[in-house]
Amino acid sequence: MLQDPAAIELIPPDTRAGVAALARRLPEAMHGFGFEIRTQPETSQVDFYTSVTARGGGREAWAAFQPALVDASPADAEAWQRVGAFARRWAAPTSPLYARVDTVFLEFDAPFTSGRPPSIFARLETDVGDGGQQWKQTIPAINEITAVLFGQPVGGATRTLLESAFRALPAGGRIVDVAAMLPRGSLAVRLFIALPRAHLARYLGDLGWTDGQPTLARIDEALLGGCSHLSLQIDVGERLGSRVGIELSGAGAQDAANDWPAIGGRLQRLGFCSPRRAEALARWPGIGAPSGALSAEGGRWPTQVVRVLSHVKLIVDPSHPPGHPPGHPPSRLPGHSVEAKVYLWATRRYVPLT
Amino acid sequence: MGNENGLLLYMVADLMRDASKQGAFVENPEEVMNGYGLSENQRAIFYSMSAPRIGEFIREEFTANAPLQGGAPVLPDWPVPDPQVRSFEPRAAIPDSIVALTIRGEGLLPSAAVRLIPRNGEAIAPVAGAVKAVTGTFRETEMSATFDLSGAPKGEYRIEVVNGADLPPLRSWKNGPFFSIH
Repeated sequence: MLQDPAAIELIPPDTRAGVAALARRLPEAMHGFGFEIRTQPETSQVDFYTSVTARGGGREAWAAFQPALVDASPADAEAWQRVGAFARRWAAPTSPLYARVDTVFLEFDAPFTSGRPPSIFARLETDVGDGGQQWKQTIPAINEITAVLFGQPVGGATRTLLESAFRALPAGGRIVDVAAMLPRGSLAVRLFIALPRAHLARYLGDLGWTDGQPTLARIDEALLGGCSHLSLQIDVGERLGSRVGIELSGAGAQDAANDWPAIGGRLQRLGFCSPRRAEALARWPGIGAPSGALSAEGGRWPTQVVRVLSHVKLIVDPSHPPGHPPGHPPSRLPGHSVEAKVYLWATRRYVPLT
Repeated sequence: MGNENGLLLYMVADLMRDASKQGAFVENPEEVMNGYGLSENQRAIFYSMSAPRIGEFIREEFTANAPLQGGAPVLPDWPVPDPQVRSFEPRAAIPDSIVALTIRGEGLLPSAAVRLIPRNGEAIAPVAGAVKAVTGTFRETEMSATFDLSGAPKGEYRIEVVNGADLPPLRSWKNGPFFSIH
């Protein structure tokens, strides 16, 4: 897949080599994989992420896996031990993670040295209900995620702010992912929150995030028009982090105003993506050639790699002054500094019968 | 461990690659099928041991559950909710009766308003329902609602769920199947 022209166009050679080496060090339990492409400011750095699902024995395979660590610093080796402990806890039926976490994402920042631990994103499964009900259902799992991955329970102030993030959820809002950004050494909990777009600004305001609201309003007007729902990313420590991420997706859009060409066009008009990179991104979606075959004698059901553009993330940080990095064109959106990233995703699927 | 997704294709895929699942199936096939939430029809098809029949059924399941976009199945890994009405039952009732509907989908909220709306939007008043219960997860929600069909004209209707005044209504399929009063 890394030799596909669409991948060659977007992913530098050293990154492809690093990903290939990294993939060989991962267990054969990975459900799919993806790349994070920076489009504003446009850089050649590409990060890699992959996932394990509870279904089909993936988590058990991951729990039994021992990563081969070479040249890991003592801190990185210790972080990897926590990742291993997390995998084993997830696979233990007595753990609250077992019932509440259905998928785990691992994100590796480039360069992909073997010793560097991934960030871990645990996707929560909750019953339909308000934020208070979700908090009650998931707090045992969140306690375990943070205690295992950080090596210590979160402090009282962080826990209070976490609870606020749940209880402030609007109707239809849901805490989707709880993440630990291990390579950054931070004890802040990253939350991914799905919610109706109409409630985004008010929700952030309720959490005390106010300085970036004018920039957020401009993004909403210029980019989010076709979305009824989106995903919000916040960092919860003793205080709320100043950086927030807003994610939207064209995948599955039923209306042309919100499909990928439309979103890509809006990104270009805002100066968040160069025309050249937008064209390369547009060539990513596709289906690879089938491999394997069934015959009367047996064989394997043929499979193929399916590539999609997963989502776009805009990061607003009001603690950074307006402007843009030297050597990069400014965005056409006045206000605070805004970063933009596009996420690619690929997975192997059985070839459907025709 | 059950997926409770009601899809035969997941059970077959798991059986193909998981020896422990095969063992569990040999031991107690009904329990394994219970775990996948299979219907009587799905079980009958699987028990038929007819490869073309099973294959065709799985193809239909795959097509129905993997919406196409530019020829590529849309992946389920994107976390933003995609609220929708996926199915409902029963599909029909007699005029002037009170009918209890089970509506399945994603993100159907307990606070939602539910209605039957005429299939073609003709000038017939919608029938308002009463939400009795909402269970399940955000991604797999089941709503129970009753509708008093007194005075509602015979015809075909779509199901509409409105989660909030500032959100687009969720409707069952434009091209059917529909809910019939006849």
